[in-house]
Amino acid sequence: MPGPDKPDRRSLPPLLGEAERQDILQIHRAILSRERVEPQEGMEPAPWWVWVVSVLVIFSMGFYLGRYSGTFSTEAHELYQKAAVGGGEAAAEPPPDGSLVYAGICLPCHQAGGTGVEGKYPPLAGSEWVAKDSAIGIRILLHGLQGPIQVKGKTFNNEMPGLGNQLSDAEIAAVLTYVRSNFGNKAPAVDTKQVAAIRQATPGQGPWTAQALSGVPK
Amino acid sequence: MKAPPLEQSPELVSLRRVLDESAAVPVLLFFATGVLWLLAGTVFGLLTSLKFDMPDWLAAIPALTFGRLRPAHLNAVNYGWASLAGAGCLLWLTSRLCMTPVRLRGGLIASVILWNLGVLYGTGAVLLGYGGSVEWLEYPLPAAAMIGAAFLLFAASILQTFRMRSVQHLYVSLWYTVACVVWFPFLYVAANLPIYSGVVHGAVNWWYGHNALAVWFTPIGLALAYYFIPKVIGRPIYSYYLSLLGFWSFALFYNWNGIHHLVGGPVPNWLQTISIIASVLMVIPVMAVAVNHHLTTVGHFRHLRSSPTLRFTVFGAMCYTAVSFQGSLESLRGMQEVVHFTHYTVGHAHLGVYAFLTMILFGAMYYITPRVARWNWPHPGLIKLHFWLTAGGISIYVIAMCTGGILQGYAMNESVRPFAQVIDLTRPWLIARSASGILITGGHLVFAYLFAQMLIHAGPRRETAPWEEAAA
Repeated sequence: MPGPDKPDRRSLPPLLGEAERQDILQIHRAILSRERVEPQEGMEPAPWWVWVVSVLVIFSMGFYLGRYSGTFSTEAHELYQKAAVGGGEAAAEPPPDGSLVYAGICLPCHQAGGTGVEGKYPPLAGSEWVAKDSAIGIRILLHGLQGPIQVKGKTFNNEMPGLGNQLSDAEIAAVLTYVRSNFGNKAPAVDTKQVAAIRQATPGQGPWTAQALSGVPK
Repeated sequence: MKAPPLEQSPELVSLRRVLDESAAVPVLLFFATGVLWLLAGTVFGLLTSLKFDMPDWLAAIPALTFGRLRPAHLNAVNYGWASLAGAGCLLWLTSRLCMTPVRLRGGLIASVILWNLGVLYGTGAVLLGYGGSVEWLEYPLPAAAMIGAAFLLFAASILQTFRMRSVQHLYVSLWYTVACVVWFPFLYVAANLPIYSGVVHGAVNWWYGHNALAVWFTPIGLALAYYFIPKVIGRPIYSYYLSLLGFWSFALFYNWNGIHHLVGGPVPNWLQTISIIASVLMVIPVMAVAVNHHLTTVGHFRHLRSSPTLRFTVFGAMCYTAVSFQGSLESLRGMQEVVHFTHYTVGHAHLGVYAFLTMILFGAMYYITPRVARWNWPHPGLIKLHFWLTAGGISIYVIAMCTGGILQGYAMNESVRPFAQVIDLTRPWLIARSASGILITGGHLVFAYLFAQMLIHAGPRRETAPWEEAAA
């Protein structure tokens, strides 16, 4: 049994000569001699402000819990929470942001600056179709567009899907307003009521063609 | 202030020798295999980083694609390097603080073998495409079972050594050590059960991911910092009351933190809120630890020049304070709206596991290795080089990732901005990250070279501590 006076031979490499073993033991003793006392606990009091900060943090987090608990409902997620906190049942849904609708739906084809892609997707920036009466834009968004169309002197022949099932009247109005007032376009805003009226007037309408659109009533 | 004298009575030196001889073989095995995983994990990490700037490079080899390298890096450095090296340090520490030899050493040898087979199997599976999709738990179940069993053997040894202790008072490092070897097996088994699905699986994922830090990695780092700062300086830790406040608030708050990874996600609001609250309440234990360490060290900062252990440990302890306050802020909803899903999170993670934990592990290994390998560090200059390469590298890393991440977060919140433009914006910061990765890799090669020399007693036979002063 190894003890304080008898080094544990098994812990030394077996092939060493006696002199090398003694040398290693001596190095080890020297290493173990340059140590300070094992750590102890000091008994100084904690600085007063540590307690003050601790209590303040606990209190403020109590308020945070009251503010954001979502009534501990399993239904409450982030958006629900904001509406519920805002003003109870009176909190109306905020109007949709046209730029967000554009970024989520239109941007992949019509690009960030409304430039479109040459030969594939027509531009919206400076497009005469955007500047035309809003009744045309609303129809294209509701039901889609297919076949050849002339935009800024170039012919495109592609297919745009209808978004009537995907977007609400308010969202269609918002994104059209956004397109008509950005990318250098300066057409007036689009009203949600007009979108609703056209949606009602054209049930079961399939994709439009450029020709059909030019005969659209104002 | 004058340094207290060395404690070198023959009885004390003999007792230390008995304790360290009992720890020598298992500790060196844990260290040596840990260093191998450090090298492997570093290569995975560096390749992952380079992929951001050279996406087509090595893309033809499936095992070296981003989706496999990244989890291989994460698992190799956490379950390989940090866990193995940390376990070795805790073994030595427990024996010293309990004043009794390490027990169940046969089990420890089995533990090292099983642990390494688990990490090898798991990492190989991830690289070959058999990894899971849950972050931090990518290893297939058999690999996880091997690591879990190895951990139980390791925990049994720590607890048995602790039971046979010959001291009355339990020093604060022991609280963290014993707590983490009891906490972690429950966590690891619970998270690996194949019973979760849907939103619950997401919640369990981050409950585990953050708790791996809370109940395993952070206690290792804190136990070592609480030990080596007063040990090298030679004065008691400042305040027992701060130690108590720090430990119990840590135990109470940290394990609630995980769901702050899902802020804004489809998880019930109250669950996110409670995690945010717990994350902010972490201010209390972190402040207690930071004040306690600072008031112990104040007036003794010159030891940073003479002791590699203290230099690495104090660097790590300061980074613990930094990463924790950053984490408390980062959990808040307003901050999440910007930095969620950005490189900022990656910077934060490395400030934690690298700048805090890994640097403290290096510091501890500089102290422990000579005592279990019975050889003095052969090249003092290379230790300095190791420190500056790793400390400099990780500083560049964290600053680049956090700055780039904030810019990236604001840019991504501009809904009409093309995504490719946001990627271009982050590019210089990602190149800086790869450069810092090269520095860190260099530091690890230096450390591995030094450690290998210690193992085989190579290099010049030195009589003294590596740097100027005696007590290193």
